[in-house]
Amino acid sequence: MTLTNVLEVDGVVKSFGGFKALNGVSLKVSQGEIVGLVGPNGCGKTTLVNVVSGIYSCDGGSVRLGGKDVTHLPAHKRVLFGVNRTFQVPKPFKDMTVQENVELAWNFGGRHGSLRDSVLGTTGLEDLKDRVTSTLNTAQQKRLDLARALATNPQVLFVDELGAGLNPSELSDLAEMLRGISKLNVALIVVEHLMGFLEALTTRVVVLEAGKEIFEGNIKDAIRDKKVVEVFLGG
Amino acid sequence: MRSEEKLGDIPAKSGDRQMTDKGQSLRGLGSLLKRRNLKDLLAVVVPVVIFSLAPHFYSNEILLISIMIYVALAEGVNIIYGFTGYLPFGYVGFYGVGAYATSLAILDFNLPPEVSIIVGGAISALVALVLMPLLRLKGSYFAIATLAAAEALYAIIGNPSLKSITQGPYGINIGSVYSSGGSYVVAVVLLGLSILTVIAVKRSKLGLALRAIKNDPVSASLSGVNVVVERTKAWLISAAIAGLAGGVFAWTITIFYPSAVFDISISVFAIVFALFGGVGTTMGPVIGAVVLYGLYSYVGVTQPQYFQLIFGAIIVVFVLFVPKGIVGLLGTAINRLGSLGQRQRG
Repeated sequence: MTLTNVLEVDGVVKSFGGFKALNGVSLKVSQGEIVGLVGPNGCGKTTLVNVVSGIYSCDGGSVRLGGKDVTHLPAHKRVLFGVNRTFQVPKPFKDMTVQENVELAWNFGGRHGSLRDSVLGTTGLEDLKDRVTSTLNTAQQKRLDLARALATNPQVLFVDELGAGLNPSELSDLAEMLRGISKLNVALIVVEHLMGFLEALTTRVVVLEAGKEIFEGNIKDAIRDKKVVEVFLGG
Repeated sequence: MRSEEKLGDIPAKSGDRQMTDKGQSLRGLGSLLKRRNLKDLLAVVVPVVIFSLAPHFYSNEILLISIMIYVALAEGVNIIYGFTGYLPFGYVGFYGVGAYATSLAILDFNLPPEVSIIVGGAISALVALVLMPLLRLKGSYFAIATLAAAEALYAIIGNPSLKSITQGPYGINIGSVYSSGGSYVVAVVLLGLSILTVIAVKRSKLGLALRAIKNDPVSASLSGVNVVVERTKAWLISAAIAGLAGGVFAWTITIFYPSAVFDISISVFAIVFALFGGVGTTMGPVIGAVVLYGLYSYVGVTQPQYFQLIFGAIIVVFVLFVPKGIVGLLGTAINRLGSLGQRQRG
């Protein structure tokens, strides 16, 4: 079976002053695939998420979503081409209810989907839908980020450290939820430090170091790779 | 093509219970909407009826019209500041442009005053469109830039070399169309329209988008909101309201100098009234304008220096500590009393 690439990142470069946060990173992700994005702090993971989602413009290279070049489109237009993300530090609309957060995303970003009524159930927020989001704890706010992203009916979804601070049982529930989402042909790029979690969830991982890709493949091979071990354990 | 499958296909853990809850929540939603409709209806009807009947009990129509104009200005500030967080210290610029555009439409094109006021609102919105780049600025930079823009408009309109067009610093006279009754009716319409506009914005997708943008523009754009376009809509609506208010002022007063309609204190008053009553609410600016302008008219005219001090303190205190104003405070108190009562009954 041939899987279509829903995301193609080709040689992306992003600099902040003299510092190259991304130095020619390429990445291809197929429909419904779950890919891990790992690397030490400051290696460029979140910058890559920001560039693909349109928060940052890139200085070189290209980003294609479903075959369409979106390199120069702003974030709100890329959402309509099927990319979305969650945040390491959650960013809910704090004076709105959970339901209003999702309603907004569905109204503006999810015109082609019909997910409004199901995302709250999927993300376990159904019972909290009338709560003002400032009263939610961090884990709930992260799930709300996920619900809001899902309400836009994405084809490609970056999940940024959703598992941080969760216990093993909660991590297992999260992995189950993400698998369920990927079965709907949503490609997931999971940014995470928890290797065990990634091993249980992903088909392959991409390892970044200093803005460059140093490994791509199975996580078991990654753990044996000399370069990867050097990066994580300092040689 | 994007996937049309539903995430609902993932089995819900409590599917049966959800069906029952859905019926109950739909009924709850129905009664909530009815309550909201009634509340919004009263928010428009009560002030309009009160101000329509007021001249039968109180003869100072100029004061009543001034209060209505300030309600409209405070509601206009509410739309741009309350919904987007952009504080427009130069808001008076649109008011002045509206007053002059209305007057010139009457003098140069012989349009009826009612139509000229609409022209005033439209021209103010047009000026706001030209000033759209200011929306790239944030916080105090935006506030100061709008102030500079208002001063620039004042300098242009009051320029002696433009005497043949604007009559420069020598003032403008539209006394030939003076109509006390006519301007009062239009002021009442302006009052109702400004409140109705805030309700419409609050209840629309635009209102939801503006609240999101105020909370977090990055998250808003990732929800598919075009931040620039939605913010511009609020800016234009707000400017048009100020322009209409300026037009009503022009028709009421009929003879005025540029300094009277480009006075920075008009911006300050509108901002203070909106903040005091509660920005982001419908009734806050109405309450703020009626209470504070009423008070100012009785006490402040003789000793204005104290009011400048008080209004300055109100801006600082309300922005920092009471961002939802009096209406927000009352709402919190009512909610607390309600939950206290529930606990006691329980």
